[in-house]
Amino acid sequence: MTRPASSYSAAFTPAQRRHNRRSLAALAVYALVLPPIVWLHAHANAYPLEQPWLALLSLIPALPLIAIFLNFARYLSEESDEYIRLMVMRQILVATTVAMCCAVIWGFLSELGGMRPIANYWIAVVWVVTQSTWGLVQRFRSRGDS
Amino acid sequence: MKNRLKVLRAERGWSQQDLAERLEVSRQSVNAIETGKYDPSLPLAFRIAELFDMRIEDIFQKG
Repeated sequence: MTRPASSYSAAFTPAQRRHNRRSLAALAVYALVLPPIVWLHAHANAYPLEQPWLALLSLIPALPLIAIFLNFARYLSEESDEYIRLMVMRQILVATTVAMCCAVIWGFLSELGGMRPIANYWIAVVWVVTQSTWGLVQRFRSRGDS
Repeated sequence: MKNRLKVLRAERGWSQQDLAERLEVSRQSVNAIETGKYDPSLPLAFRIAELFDMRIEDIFQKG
């Protein structure tokens, strides 16, 4: 597939720009759906919900976040720049390692160490923060070499 | 693996961005190859060789 040379003139590859657009759209949906659901949860006495509606409602904010993770798989299949793809693969590997280590450590601390259990979605937050941070570190290193 | 990419690029007066656009890759890719941090795949090595009208082994040497 031939692309116009100007596609690579920016800081991001065309696949990265598409990935960023899709991720921002998913985050926008998340930001829109979360507040009303949190509000409903906070006012559960006034608006009591039975199962399975309560469970279904609680899953709505999860869907855009799931889309963000699925978006990574799509991005990797679209990225034609082999070096950038390798860098993103490394980011994913580092983020997965850190998130899984945090999950295991906190799991044992909360089960056996008397620490307070935390919501499982924090594992996803750790993954995203680590992946983004490692991406910035790689960009910074790359600039230093030029 | 060592390579002469930086020298060949400089001989033609191209910046890393110029070379990246000709190869249809990112500037980071060119930079990583030039500094020896990344060895390109065979298809990309062929594209580089074609661009400079040279053989792959004249650009990349076992280091």
